[in-house]
Amino acid sequence: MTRPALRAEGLTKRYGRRVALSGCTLAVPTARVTGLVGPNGAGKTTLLQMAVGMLPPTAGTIEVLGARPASGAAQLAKVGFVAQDTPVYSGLSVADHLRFGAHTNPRWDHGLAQDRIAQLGLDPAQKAGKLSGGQRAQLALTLALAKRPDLLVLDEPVASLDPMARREFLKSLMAHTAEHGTSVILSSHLVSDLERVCDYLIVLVDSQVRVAGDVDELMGSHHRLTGARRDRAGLPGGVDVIEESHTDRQSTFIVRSTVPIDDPSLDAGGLSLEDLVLAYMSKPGRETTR
Amino acid sequence: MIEFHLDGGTGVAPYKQLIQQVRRALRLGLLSEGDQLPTVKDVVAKVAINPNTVLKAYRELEYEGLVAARPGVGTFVRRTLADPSLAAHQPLREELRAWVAKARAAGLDTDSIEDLFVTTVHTPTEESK
Amino acid sequence: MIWFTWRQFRTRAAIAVVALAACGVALLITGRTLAQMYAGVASCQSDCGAALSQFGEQFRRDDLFLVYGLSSLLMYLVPALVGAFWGAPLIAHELETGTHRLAWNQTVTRSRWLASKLAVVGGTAAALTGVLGWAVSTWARHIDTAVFDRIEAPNFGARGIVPIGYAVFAFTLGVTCGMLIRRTVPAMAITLAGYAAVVLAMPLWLRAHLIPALHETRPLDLENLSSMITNTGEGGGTMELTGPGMPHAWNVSNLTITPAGDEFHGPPDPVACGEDAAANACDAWLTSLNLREDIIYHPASHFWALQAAETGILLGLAALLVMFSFWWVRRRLT
Repeated sequence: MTRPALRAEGLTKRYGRRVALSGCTLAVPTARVTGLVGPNGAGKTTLLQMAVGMLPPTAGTIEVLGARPASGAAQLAKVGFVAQDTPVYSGLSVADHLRFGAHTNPRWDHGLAQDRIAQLGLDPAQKAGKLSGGQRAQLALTLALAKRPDLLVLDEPVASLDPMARREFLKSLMAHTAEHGTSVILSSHLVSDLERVCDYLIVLVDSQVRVAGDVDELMGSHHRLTGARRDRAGLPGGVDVIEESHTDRQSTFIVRSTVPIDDPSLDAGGLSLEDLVLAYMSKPGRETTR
Repeated sequence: MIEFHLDGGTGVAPYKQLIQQVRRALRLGLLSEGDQLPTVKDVVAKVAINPNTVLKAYRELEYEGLVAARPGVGTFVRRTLADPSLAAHQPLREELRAWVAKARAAGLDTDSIEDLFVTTVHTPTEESK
Repeated sequence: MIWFTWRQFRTRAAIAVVALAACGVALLITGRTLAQMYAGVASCQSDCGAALSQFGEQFRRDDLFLVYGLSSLLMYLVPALVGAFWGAPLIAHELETGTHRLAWNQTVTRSRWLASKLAVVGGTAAALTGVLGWAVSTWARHIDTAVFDRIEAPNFGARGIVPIGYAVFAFTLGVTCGMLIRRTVPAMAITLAGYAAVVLAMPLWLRAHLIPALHETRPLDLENLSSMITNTGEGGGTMELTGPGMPHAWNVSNLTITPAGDEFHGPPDPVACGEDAAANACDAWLTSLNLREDIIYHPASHFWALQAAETGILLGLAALLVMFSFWWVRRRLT
């Protein structure tokens, strides 16, 4: 593939004895909306903060758009970040925040910023501390978008928003990527949001990457097989079992397979993205060396 | 202009859903030759979905010969799927209504009617795309 | 980034300027009264000694004495305020509220971010302290020559350029504590404690050694002792004498020694200084001892050299703190 938006090799982050990320290897393509999903505490924030240079790795390497994160002004200009809980300067007005962006970013698109603020119905003179959660998130997103980055990294941007605000946020984000071709990496613990907007998926559970790939390819290669009660050995070859469950009569397997399943004793069905993610979340990970 | 929507829980890929919705519109005569499909930006601004999804759906429709992309202008319908048998829809619908009434009189509830219909429709011939 | 630092800082700066202006007005008004009081000395042509001591006495009895004290206190207070209210929150507040995650993702490196903050706020602190110090020194110039010596603590720390050094030091100490502790209020407390420690340690232990002091040995002038303490007791008791010391100087140490060079602590002669002795017998006995005054001191002429040395040390400490801060923000801060 051409230069990936994010490349990680054996990326590890340790805090004393606690392992936040262990041996992550990824190659996230550009011009995609990538979803990073996993339970709370899985390491999503750690990975994203390493991508924008807020945290240094303990071991392994990470490269964003071909360079080390935060390795200088040029790199900082290419990557936009909205942190979890969308921090803003509560004593400064919305307009002050825009001026801040204009003064510190060479690629700043002031017209875009002002149009968005107007569209969102935000009062430029309003102090940022008085905005609602949804408005703060939209302000933070505006700042990140008007910076015109090549890659936009969002850490649980919609976690604290009500459904309406959430939908509006995602619409804004998608409209921007449609127009500018920005690559996006966003994390969430809600799969339903990711299903609509992401075309590349990373599942992170317990500090490890469980699966990563193109969403269409993942959907096409994962199946739910149901049939009479049997062992996984009774499955056709070339099949990788992700999850299995059994009753006294019936067995259900969630599998990944590159070859079509043509065993007549098995009923092969598709999987929703949510089911796929859940299957990987319940699968035990590999042993981590501490 | 057609409006898209996404059904979250069906397990059908979003781009396939868009394709299905365009084909249904073509079949029912809601879209005719020369009509413009909404731009990618318009679609994603109304429905929060990935622009690549829309592009993929439009590309596949173009590959099937149903639409044609004119660079800088938009994507336009080339031919319809309007069933010549559209005329037969009304009498068929009335027959179906009568059949459903019969099924209810025999004691079937809505779910059983649906199951009966779905299995009958799908079993003899595979639905071809 | 400069614009933004200023935008965040402008309210605090405005408050400081207003306070400074208020102090300036107070000094101007009281300065006029002081000038009137000094008129007698200013116009004297011969034998100004009497006019000077009269001025001194008048001054000590007046409310202006209180203003004098407060103005010196203010020069110690300002660096503490700068350290606690401008230095400690500078980084700590951003870390506490998480806004550093917004700032560090604009196209400005952490170094430039820190440099901008240090320059704008620290520079303003130094400038305002300098202006206030100049105002106070000018107001007190006659008192410094006529009544109290500015080379002695606590006046020394309230004059010249040393307050600027303390302000810059306290500021950088605050910034560093804020960066390490990441919480504003504890950082303020630690900064104040650190500043207080340095402000006390400097005159007590360090200042005297900054430049070589002068050493004088001379006969003890028994007519002008600054103190005499006699203790009678078992084994004869003790007698502590202290001479007048060098005038207009900071007497770092003033010992009374015997001609042999040993420190004299008594005991008082039981006959000459006993209860039944004659009136001048004790004095005569003391005179016969040929006691000498051994003084280590800094004369008034050392004032600017000491100022420069002390300010240099403070700025050196500040520079170390700044270098550490840059290293910390780039390598270790998350």
